Amino acid sequence: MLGPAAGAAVYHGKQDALEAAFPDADEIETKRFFLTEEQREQVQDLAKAPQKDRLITVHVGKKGDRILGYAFLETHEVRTLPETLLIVVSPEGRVAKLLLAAFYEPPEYEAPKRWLGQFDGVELGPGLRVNRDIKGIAGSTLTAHAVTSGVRRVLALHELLLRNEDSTQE
Amino acid sequence: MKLRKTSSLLALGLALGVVPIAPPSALAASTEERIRLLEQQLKMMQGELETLREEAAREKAEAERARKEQENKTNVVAETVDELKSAMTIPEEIELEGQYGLAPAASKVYKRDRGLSIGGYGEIVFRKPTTDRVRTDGGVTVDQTRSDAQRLILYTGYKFNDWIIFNSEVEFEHGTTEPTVTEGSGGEVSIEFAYLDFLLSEYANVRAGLVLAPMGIINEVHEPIGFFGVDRPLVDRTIIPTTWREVGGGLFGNLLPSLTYRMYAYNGLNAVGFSPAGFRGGRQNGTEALANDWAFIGRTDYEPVSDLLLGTSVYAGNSGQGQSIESDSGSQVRIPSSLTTIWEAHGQWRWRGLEARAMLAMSWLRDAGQLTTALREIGELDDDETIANQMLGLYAEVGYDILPWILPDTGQQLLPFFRYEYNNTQLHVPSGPSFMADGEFQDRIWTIGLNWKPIPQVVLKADYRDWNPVTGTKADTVDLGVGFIF
Repeated sequence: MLGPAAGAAVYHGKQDALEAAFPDADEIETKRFFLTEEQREQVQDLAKAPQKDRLITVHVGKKGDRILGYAFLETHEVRTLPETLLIVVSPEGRVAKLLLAAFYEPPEYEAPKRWLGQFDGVELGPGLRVNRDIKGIAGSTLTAHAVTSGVRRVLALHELLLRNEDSTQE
Repeated sequence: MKLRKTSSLLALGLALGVVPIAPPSALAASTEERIRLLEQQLKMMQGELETLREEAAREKAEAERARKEQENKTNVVAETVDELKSAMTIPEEIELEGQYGLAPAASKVYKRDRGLSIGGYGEIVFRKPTTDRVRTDGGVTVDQTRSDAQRLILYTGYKFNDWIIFNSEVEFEHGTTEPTVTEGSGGEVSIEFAYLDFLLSEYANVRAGLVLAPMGIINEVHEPIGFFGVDRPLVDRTIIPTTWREVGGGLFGNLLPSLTYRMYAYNGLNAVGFSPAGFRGGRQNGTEALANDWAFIGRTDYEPVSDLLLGTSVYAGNSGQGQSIESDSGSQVRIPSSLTTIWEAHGQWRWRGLEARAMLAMSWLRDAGQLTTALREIGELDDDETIANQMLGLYAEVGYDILPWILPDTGQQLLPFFRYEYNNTQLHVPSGPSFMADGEFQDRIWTIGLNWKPIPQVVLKADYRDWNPVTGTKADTVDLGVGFIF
C-alpha cells in the first residue's frame, strides 16, 4: 500500500467556500432544518446512504428574488478521517458545483479535480453510484464511494426539504 | 376569565328577567327604567369585552415573545452546533499562505494539525486442493487443506509539519510467529515500509527509508479489495516478489495532473536467494541487508481518463552484493555480479460495473550460468536446478458487478470474475549441458470466482484455480477468503 501519509489539507474556509458557491449572489441566507426521526429515515431511503445528522444547515444563494441554488457543507469519513465537500444543488435538484473543502486522509487518497467534475449536473437516481454513472478512482476506492454517498445524501435532503419550497416559489 | 363571562351573562339575565310586569300608566316609566338598566348593562358588557380583548392581546403578545425567545434560543444553539461541526474540519475564514516557494494564490492550502493517521487491512483464507491432482511425495500428501490468518496490517503515519510526513506499515503474517505442531506453520512480523516524505512541490518531492518497490499493480496497493482472487497473481510472487521492499530513496511527483512518477536508488536484491521459481528469495527486506550493489527503480503512470490507468516500471541493478561464500569443500565461491533487470507494463480499466486489470512482466539476468554453478557449489541449488536468464509472467483479470441488474438501488457489489495467468520463471536458461529448464515452473492458471462486497471496505471471495504446469502436477484449489480495510 502506498501508505497513509498523514496529511490534512483545508482548501476552503467556510466563508470562502460559500463565496465560491455563489459568486453572483446578492445575499446568502442560512436556513436550518431539524429533521424528525421519520424525515431522517426518509433521507436515508432516498439517498441509500446513512444519514446521521438531524440538524441540517443550508445556505441559500439569492439574486434579487431568484434562488440561485442551495449550498451544503457535507462532511463524512473516508477511511478513518473526514473530508468536507461543498455541494451546490440547483433549484431543479442537480449538482451545480462540487468543491473539495477539506481532506484529512493521506493525499494519495484524494479525489482528483477531474474526477470530481463528473458530478456536474447529476441528479439523484439509481445510476448515481460508483462504477455505474460515476467512474471509480484507481487506488482510491473508498474516496470514490464516500464522495458519491455524500452527493446522494445532499440531493436527498434537497428533495425532501427544499423541492416543495422551490415549487411554491415558482 | 370564564367567571367574568358567566357573571356578565347573569347580570344581563337579571336585567331582562327581574323587571316586573307593570300597568300601562307605569309602563312608560318602567320602559325607561328598563332601557336605562339595559344601557348600564351594555356599558358594563362593553367594558368587560374591552378588558377581555386587552387580556387576550396581552396573552398573545406574551406567547409571541416566548415563541420568539424559544426560536432565538434554538437558533443560537443550532448556530453554535453548526459552527462547531464545521469548525472540526474547516475554519470560518482561511488564511492564505505560500507553500513550496509559490505565491499564496498559487498554493491556497491551509494545513491543519491532525498528525496521527491509522489504517489497516487484513485477509483470512481457506484453501482446499482438489483430489484429482494432489501431489504426493513418498506417499505423503504435499498439498494440504489449510486455513490461515494470512495477513493483518496496521498502517501508521505521522505528519510532523506541512512538509515532512512519516509513513509506515507493520504486518503480522500467518497468525503467530511461533510454529505450532503443524508442519509449515509459523508466521512473522515485518515492517513493510517505513519512510519519510519531504513535500517540496507538486513536481518533485523526496522519499527516503524502507520503501516499497514501485513495480506492478499489487506491490504498492496490495489490499484485498484491490484484486479479485483470494491469492495474488503468481507473477506478483515470482518475478515481482511482492511485498517487495528495500531501503532506498529518491523523487516522486506529478509531471502533469494525470502523469505521475517515482524513481529511487534502491538497495539491490541478493542473488544468493534466486531460485528456479524466481526472485522471491532474493529480497533482503531491509533486515541487515547487504548494500554493496544498488539498483535504479523507476515508474510512471498515466491516467488519460479517470477510469483508465496505464503504467510501466523498470528495475536494474547488480545482485551479487560482492559476496564470496565458502563452499562445502572449503573453497571460496564468488557470487557473480548478476545484473538483474525487471520490466513490467500494467493497465487498469473500469467502466460502469466492469473492472479489468492486466500486467506483463519480464526479467533478464546476466551471469545466470555462473550464478547457477556458484549456488550449486554452496549448496543453495540442487544439481538439476537452474536459474533462468529470462523470465516472463503475465495475467489478465476481468470482473463485472451483476448486482445492479438484480437490485438496482443496492450499494453492494457482486462480481463474478475470470483471471488468466501465465508464469514462466524458466523461459530461457543458460546454454550448456548442465542447465535445463524445469517445466514445473512454467504454469498456466485459470481462475474463476466470485467477490461479494457488502460495503466497499469488506470483501468475501471464493474461487477455483486450475493449475496447469508444463511438467509434473499441481493440485487445483478451491479458495475462500475474507478481506477488509479500514
